[in-house]
Amino acid sequence: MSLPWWKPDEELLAATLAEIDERAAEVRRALAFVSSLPDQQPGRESGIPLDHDRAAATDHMGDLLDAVGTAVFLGASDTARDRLGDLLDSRAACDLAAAAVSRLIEESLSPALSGLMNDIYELVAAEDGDRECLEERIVDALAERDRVELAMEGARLLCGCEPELDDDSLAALASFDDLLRAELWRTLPLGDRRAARCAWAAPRYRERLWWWFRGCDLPHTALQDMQTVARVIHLFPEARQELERMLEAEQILDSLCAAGRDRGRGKVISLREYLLRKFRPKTSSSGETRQMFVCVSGPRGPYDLAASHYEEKPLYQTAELTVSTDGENLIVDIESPEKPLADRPPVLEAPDHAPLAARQAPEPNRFEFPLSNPVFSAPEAWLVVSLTTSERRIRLPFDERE
Amino acid sequence: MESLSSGLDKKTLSELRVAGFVNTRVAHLHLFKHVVRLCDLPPEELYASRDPEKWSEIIPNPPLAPDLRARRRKARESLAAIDSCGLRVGRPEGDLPCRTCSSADAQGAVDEAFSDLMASYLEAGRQAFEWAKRNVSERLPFLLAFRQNGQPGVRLKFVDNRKITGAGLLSRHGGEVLLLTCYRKDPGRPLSLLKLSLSRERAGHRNEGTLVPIQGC
Repeated sequence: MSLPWWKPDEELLAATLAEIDERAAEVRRALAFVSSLPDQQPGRESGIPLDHDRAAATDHMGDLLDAVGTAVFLGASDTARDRLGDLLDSRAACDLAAAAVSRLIEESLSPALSGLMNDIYELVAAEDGDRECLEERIVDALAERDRVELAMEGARLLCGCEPELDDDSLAALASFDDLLRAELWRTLPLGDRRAARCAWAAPRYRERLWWWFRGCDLPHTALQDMQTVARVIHLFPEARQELERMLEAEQILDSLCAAGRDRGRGKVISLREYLLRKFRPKTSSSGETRQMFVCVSGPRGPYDLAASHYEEKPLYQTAELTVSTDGENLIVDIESPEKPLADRPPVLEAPDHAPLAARQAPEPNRFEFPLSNPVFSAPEAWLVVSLTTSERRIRLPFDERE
Repeated sequence: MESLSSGLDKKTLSELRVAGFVNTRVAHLHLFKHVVRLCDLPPEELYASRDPEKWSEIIPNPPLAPDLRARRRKARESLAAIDSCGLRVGRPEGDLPCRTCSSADAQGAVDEAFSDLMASYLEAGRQAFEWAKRNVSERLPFLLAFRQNGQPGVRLKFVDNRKITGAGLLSRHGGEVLLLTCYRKDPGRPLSLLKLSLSRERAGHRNEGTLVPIQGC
């Protein structure tokens, strides 16, 4: 299987590891220098430097944690651990790591807050030129939150436990997150920029960058669409029940996700949502876009979900077959010289659902399952493809490992 | 220039020039926030005597006074003579007048009063872009180009060895970059860490399919 294994960006990984080596050497030098100082403050056994020396060492440690956190989020924790070597067992390094995270919160994150909130409030109504400017400023301010998260993750790896931040830092971080969380919906016009800001990380770490990740699959027009919904409900109050049913369906999905996490099985989502997440809007060469509506089924009935549709996205590939989606269908292509077994189209089998046979597409050796079928509300299924030479059983969601 | 379907080639890139900010309001907002440090900042920074962006390392005196308090005092004196400007003396501290300014009179008078400083600031942005163009490569992502939300316009982000970070829009007519922002973040930080930050951003755009490749890098 060649897809859909996730691999870290090679250039990014190489740059990250080189950075760890360089910054770790600086931290070692700083710690060695401090331990050589004769006049350590009484009571300080860890050997952390004070004042100017301490500030410089803390800066070096902050830089190191940025790179280590990046490595962890790339799925390269073991490699990062190897590079850190003796720093892993150092109490002085752990204390310095906590100090570096606190300093980052105090000097970079907190000052960014007021400007960020002003920019977020203005984004929705901003005009051309001003809007792009606000977007850049918001992205830059939220990048400070990235730095803190990466540094905290780096500190966790370095110390083997949660970094011991002082109360002021914890309070400042909680305050930043609370304020941001309440207004995060206003950043939806950033659209796929938000997805790109977390897409460098391994899939299982992206949710940790929640300020980018949450709702990053929504179109950048989502808030304008909300105005449309408000007008629909105003003109057709009878439609409110349908809206509430949709909301209920979303809540059910959320509770399924939570239940899955509680069981330690990772996040549970419907196959439909899984496949639509895999499917990203593409830009045509002329830069034009077209919108279409995909009719899909919620847990209790059909509803319409806006999606962008331009081309197929391959999800799984072997020499015999390719599985892809165009946002409307799950598509199975039997690759030549293989052939499907006569009168045996591919079948989707999901618990508590009748088996669903694929329909033959106009193209030869191509079969389609419409995503609107209720079977796609199941969290998992088996795709059974009968070939002239063998039978393939493929589990959905596809096996995705780092 | 507009389609850039196969990416941005080296020749096209080499011909790009920073023409200025995307509009006057944005230019003034950035000048008075990042360089003069007179507005759009948290209260503690409005009164601080330490300039975290250290623009005096880049812009000579004159037009930029190295001492931050002298810099603000001089700017306030010039602004006091511009009646229509929201930044003139007497406005509440922390007000954000540049963001909503639509007074052509005020913008024109500010342009005239701060022409030398604005020219130096813009020149710093231009030099940063030129440096990033000369030094960009696959391993050294000092400049990245990407699209957002399927829009035809290309955005650029760059950083130079003096830690000046800029972002801009490629003009539809071609050849010009219109700045959206220009600032110095952590000038004491190693350049390689800014590079790492841009590497993350580039990898994210690459995975999302929104990266505009720079050919030959």
